[in-house]
Amino acid sequence: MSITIVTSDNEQFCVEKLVAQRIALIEDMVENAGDRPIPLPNVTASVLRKILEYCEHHKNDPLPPYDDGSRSRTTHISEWDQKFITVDQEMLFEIILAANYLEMKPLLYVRLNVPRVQCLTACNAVAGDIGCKTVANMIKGKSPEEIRKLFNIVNNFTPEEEAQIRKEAEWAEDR
Amino acid sequence: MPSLHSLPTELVEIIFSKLSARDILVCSSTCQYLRLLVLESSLLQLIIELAVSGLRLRNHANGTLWQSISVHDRLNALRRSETRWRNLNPKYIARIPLEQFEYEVCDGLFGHGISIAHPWFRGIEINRIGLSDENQSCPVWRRYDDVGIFLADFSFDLASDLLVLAAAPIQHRTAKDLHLRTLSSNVDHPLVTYPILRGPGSETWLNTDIKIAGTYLAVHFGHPTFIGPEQGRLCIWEWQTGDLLHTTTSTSGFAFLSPASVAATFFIEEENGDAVTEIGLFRIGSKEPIVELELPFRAHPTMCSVLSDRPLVDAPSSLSNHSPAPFMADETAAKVFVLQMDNFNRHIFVAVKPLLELLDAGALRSSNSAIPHANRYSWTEWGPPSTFWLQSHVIEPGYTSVSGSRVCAVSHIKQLFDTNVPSGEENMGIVRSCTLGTENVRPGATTILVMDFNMRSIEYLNGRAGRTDLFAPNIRWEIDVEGETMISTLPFRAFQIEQVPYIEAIVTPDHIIGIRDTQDGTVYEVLQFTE
Repeated sequence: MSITIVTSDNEQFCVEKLVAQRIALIEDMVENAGDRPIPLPNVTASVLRKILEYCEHHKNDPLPPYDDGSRSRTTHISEWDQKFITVDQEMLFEIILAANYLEMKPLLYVRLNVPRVQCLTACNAVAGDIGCKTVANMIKGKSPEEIRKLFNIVNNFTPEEEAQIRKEAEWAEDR
Repeated sequence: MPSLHSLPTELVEIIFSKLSARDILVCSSTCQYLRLLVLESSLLQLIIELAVSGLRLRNHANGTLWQSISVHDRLNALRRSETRWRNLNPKYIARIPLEQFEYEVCDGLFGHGISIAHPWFRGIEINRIGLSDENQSCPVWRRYDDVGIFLADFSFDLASDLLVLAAAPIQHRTAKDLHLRTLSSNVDHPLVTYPILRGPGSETWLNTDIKIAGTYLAVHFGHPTFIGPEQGRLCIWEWQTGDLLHTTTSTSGFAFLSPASVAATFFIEEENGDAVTEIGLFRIGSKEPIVELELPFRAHPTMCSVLSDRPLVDAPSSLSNHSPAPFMADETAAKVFVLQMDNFNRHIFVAVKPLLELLDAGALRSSNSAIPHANRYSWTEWGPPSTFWLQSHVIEPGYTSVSGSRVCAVSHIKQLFDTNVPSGEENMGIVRSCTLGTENVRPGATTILVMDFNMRSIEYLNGRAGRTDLFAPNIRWEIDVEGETMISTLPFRAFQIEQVPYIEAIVTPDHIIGIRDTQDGTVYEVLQFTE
């Protein structure tokens, strides 16, 4: 049993249903779509290929349990996932955005009647969460200037704000 | 090209929530957008403020406690509580009549011995110490007038509904019997294989120290006057199965570093017959200490106790009408334990985190090496970054209490810290210099000191008013090591509570419980510092 997905750049993917069910948005759409192809106007083929690679590998994993967010503060990533997420920064953010669009929000908002932040952090163990962990690992231990360089951030503070921030930095040392 | 700024704010929030408070603040100092994002996120603010308070978000199982409290509410409760702690401004005070100097505090419950049959007792009363607006009291939750045995000590754990009773060694002076009951109803605990655990060995004992950490039950059987290789037994059981996982003699005290690792003080006899005290660090299940830490004196104290609170392994299970403070189950990052050495007049405050790091490094080396006991550290190697000392004439011996990074002690003197300690044999070559204002310390009646080993300041956050410590001593050690001077600065701040004639003071995450004599008799006085 398989279903057809059409990406934003009009590529068609034929996906095993078990794999597609890993993607919450598609799971919901399958019920309504019948045999028609499912359009994903926000996802390009190259990104979907990565997402499907992840779903294929994890298709037999148990679904992640509900948690309140504090557990996902760990930033450990398994070996396979580590390899999977070793991509350039552009692709990394594309995966995070796509996983966020495809997977989490609609499902969790509706099914669990819990506060918003808790819903969002429940995206444990999905591609987006591994992406988030990867970005977090990129940030760890860096200086503000290094982070600006990493993400192309323009320093737009006023001199007064700069002075205030320097005070804060004293506290942040060694933390 | 997509980057951090092209993600929805909630995704940036998720990413940042995986960072330490330090890294979050670094990110917030890169640009206006991220600064605002961090300031407006309750979750990120909570992480920062927890760090400032020495706390961190816990890894815990699916608890019911947290889901009922929003991040925003937790943040606000934490801020209110921190302000109260900083000013030592209790919100409520309640009194509990004292019958027996034997108490146990955990999970918002205060248990104390009743029905004295000196020197032992047979009854226990358990009060809830979450005071409320309507009723500024600590209502009795359970009272067992007679548990059927004479008791030497007891301890309990709310999450497991476990009450551990140590039977007094009356008829058999060497018997070490522990009765495992339910806290809620004083019947044999349904999860245990053996309702009575019996410690091994034939040495006599008089006092016990019971600590429960999740599935582990650790008990030290000590003797206040006999100290030697045949005395001082530490036993660690898996309390449900009754398996004895660890037992050693020659120990004088212990503290859990984490739910699965322990620091214990050992007496070791040297070849020339002298005895020395050392600290051993071990993982539960490892027969020998993985790391051995030398203390700076080559003699052993007549009495050495280790004071600590237990590691939090789970949030309290639900207890009807009982709502602990929303953050009290958070693990403390800047935890300390206290070594109290009577005849040396020393209190040594030891930070747990550097010890855990030594233990991890030692375990790694041991697994790669055939030589056991390879991990010995001299005092100068491990002590300066991890410890702080007070002379016992500054604080009253025997009456110190620990909760996370906070230590509560009773003092009678004006000059709290020696600013001019002469170096020499007596001081182990350690010169402590510090700058502090003692002018706020009034002489006379007893002073309750709350020392917080997590010295941080967040005056800038959200434009909040700056906090003023009563005094924030900048403790600096200069240590002479073979001609080289090592300098170490310790994170430390201290408060002084209103002068009250407490005999003893106990600190909990939310309260200080003082023992004082009033016109109506001796009472436990409970001061609440949270909402």
